[in-house]
Amino acid sequence: MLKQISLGRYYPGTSLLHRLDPRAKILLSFFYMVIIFLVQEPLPMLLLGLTTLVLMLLSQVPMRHILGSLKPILFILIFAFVINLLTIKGDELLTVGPVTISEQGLETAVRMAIRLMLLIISTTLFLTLTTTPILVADAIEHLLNPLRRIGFPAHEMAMMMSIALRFVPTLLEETEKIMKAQSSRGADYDTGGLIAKARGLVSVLIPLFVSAFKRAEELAIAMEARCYRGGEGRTRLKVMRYTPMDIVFSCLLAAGCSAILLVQYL
Amino acid sequence: MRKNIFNLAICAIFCGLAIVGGKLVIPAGPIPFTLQTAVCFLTGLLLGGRRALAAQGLYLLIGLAGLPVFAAGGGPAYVLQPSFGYLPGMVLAAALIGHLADRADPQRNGLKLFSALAINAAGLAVVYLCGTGYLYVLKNIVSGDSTGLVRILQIGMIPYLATDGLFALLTASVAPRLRRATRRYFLA
Repeated sequence: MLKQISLGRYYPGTSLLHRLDPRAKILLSFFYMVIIFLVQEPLPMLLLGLTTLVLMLLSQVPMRHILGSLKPILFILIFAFVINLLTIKGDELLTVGPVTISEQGLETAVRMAIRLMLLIISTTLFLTLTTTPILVADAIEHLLNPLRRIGFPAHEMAMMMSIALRFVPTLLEETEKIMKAQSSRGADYDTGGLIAKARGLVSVLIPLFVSAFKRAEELAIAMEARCYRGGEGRTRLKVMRYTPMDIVFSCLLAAGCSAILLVQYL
Repeated sequence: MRKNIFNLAICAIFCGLAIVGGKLVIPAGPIPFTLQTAVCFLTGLLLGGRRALAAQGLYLLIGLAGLPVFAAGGGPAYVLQPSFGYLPGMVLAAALIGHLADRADPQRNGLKLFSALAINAAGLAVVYLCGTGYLYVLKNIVSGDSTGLVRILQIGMIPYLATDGLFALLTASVAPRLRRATRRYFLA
């Protein structure tokens, strides 16, 4: 049960997409998302699909990995496709028994499905697959830094993000340990009804939450012992800098997307 | 130990617990359930309003930033999932539960079982309100197929009522002792 959890299927590599500044990647993935929503017509959509394909090739991540990111939403994808296909009324295209498929229905269904697929692929490509979680947290801190003027705790938030991600494997291990310990005392997690199962889970949750407090205390003492006092004046081992490559790539992508939009509106 | 460093650490670790709780899928009956709501209740009951808001809000942010911490992945596109509304609902609910719990029991020496239960019920109502409201808006306005309110409640609330209600009861029953046991971390 616990083994199946994988957080951030980062695929190690040195491709162009991997080397891009993480801040640029976050901004580009938002920009790309907006473009995906603006594109309506079939030809621009095809061009956008090709652009996404180029990005996929540039990342040098195996196709299998990229397409694997669609698996969790496969059900919703098919469900939305069928619902759109069957419920939208319009010019009749095909009638089988009581089911009528309209031209507009097919169009909307295909458009929605492609859009959703492009959306998931592009965001996992920019963020999940080619950027480590810690870099994402650092980049978010940088991007939110301007908000510090109005009192937003950007540094604290990024620090908490890194700690949370760092502790996920630890907490999982701990959960497993507690479950085994409770099993040896006679707890049963696999049989019994809903109530029995939920009660069994509570016997896991309580020690887990109590130990979370202990861990937080230890961590806070350790941080204080190392003179942690927030982000003010803190220096970094790796300083993020926009390189010419980042600027060229961002401009190229922006130009490409604008061209696609021009094709649509002209 | 300075207060704010501990606060930072405890919120971060509770965010980690939210990630773990959301990923643990327990197969039971027709609908598998996760521990997400249980973690949300406990976060509120143990941390108080502001810290609970930080811990659960951070979870939401991490997911939206592109890390696959939600049940079906993550990333900004997750906003389009019909079930997305429950996540901000959970954030608000944890904050509300925390605020109410700290008001009902400011000295952390024993929340009454009945008030803990009532607080959890209020939190659960917030979760469902956000979740089904979002589902309704997404179905009717964004994707355009009209779905009745009854149908929305049938797919978005009824199936989860049993497990969520059970978790509300169970977490409320352990909250008084846990609040007392963790008293020293907050009220020195």
